[in-house]
Amino acid sequence: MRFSEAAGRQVVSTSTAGTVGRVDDFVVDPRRRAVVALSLKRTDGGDTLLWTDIVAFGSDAVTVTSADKIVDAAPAIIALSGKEHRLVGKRVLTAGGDDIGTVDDVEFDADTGAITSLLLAAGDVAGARLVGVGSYAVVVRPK
Amino acid sequence: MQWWAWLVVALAAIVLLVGAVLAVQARRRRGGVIVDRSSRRANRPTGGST
Amino acid sequence: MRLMRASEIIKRPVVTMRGDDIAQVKDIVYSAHGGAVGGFTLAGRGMFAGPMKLGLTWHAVVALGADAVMISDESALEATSVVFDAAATGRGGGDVLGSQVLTDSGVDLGIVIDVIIAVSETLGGQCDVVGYEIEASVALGTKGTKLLIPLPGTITASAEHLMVPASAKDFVSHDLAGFGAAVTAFRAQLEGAG
Repeated sequence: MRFSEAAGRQVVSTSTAGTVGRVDDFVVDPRRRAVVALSLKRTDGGDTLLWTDIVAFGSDAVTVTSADKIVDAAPAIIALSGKEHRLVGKRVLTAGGDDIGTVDDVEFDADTGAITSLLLAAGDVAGARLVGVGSYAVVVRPK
Repeated sequence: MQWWAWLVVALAAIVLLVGAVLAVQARRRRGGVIVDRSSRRANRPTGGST
Repeated sequence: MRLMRASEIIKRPVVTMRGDDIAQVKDIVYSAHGGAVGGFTLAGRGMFAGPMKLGLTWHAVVALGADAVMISDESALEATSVVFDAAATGRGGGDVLGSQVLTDSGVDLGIVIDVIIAVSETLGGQCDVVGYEIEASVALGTKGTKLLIPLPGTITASAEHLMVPASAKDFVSHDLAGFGAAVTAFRAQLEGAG
């Protein structure tokens, strides 16, 4: 599944069948190379849903047991959020210091949250090559 | 002068000042290629090939 | 072995493995004894930034690529005095750009407008100054053309002049593509002759 498809997806509670929010952005931990939380909008309380609290990330909705799982972002999550940590739109540098393009989209595993690959115009970069994401660039291991 | 004329002068002064600072800093950031003639730094790191 | 121009390396961002650009290259410092690049002095990023008190030695560089100088993290930066001793070279007087190149037979070849640097592509490899780009004097034919002159392993430089063996003018290149070969051929010729 891609960030571009999943953005805007409704988050539905399995207990009430009601929509409790909408996916706004993805919080990625570059060290674990996986999505660790979702940033939500249009919720009654809280703006963050941890990946571990998700029941399933389906093609039409993200399911969660109840709206209580939506919380305010903890410091650890805040540290990984924001423009500095966003992947899409950021230039990509290899660990050798060469610019290989910009991240157009991100492919991730809907079951585990693991980043499968970064999609660039020049070609895809396997998620396993991710080294870091910072204010200037995404750094990836050379092939 | 009218009060707005003083405002224009003040703004112009600010723009010039900022411009001057930007120019000075750009000049200070300019780099070159410096040859280090101190003999104590003549050691090459061992290993690696040219 | 990649060839790069000093003018391209200057102002290149210094990026940590986390992806943050914490500085940019200001000066490239190289040893007169052997031409090895010892390191870089740094400037801050941004319009209002000036020179930094910290520099980067070549040992601390993870990689020098076409678009960035990669380092592990901020701890790679050290006091500029570790990179080069300003007192020994004399600030400002040590910049070779604009210096005159003389052969050891006393012929003026031109003025240095850029410096050619060879970077090893293996981790921990060498980084050396291997040539000058000069604005040619009358002695090399058309005055004012840009030419690349190879340098021997040992660089001879003073505050006033840069000196090269007279045979260097026989190995002059017009572009970077064939220059690596010219440097190798020139140095082989020096070893054969000397």
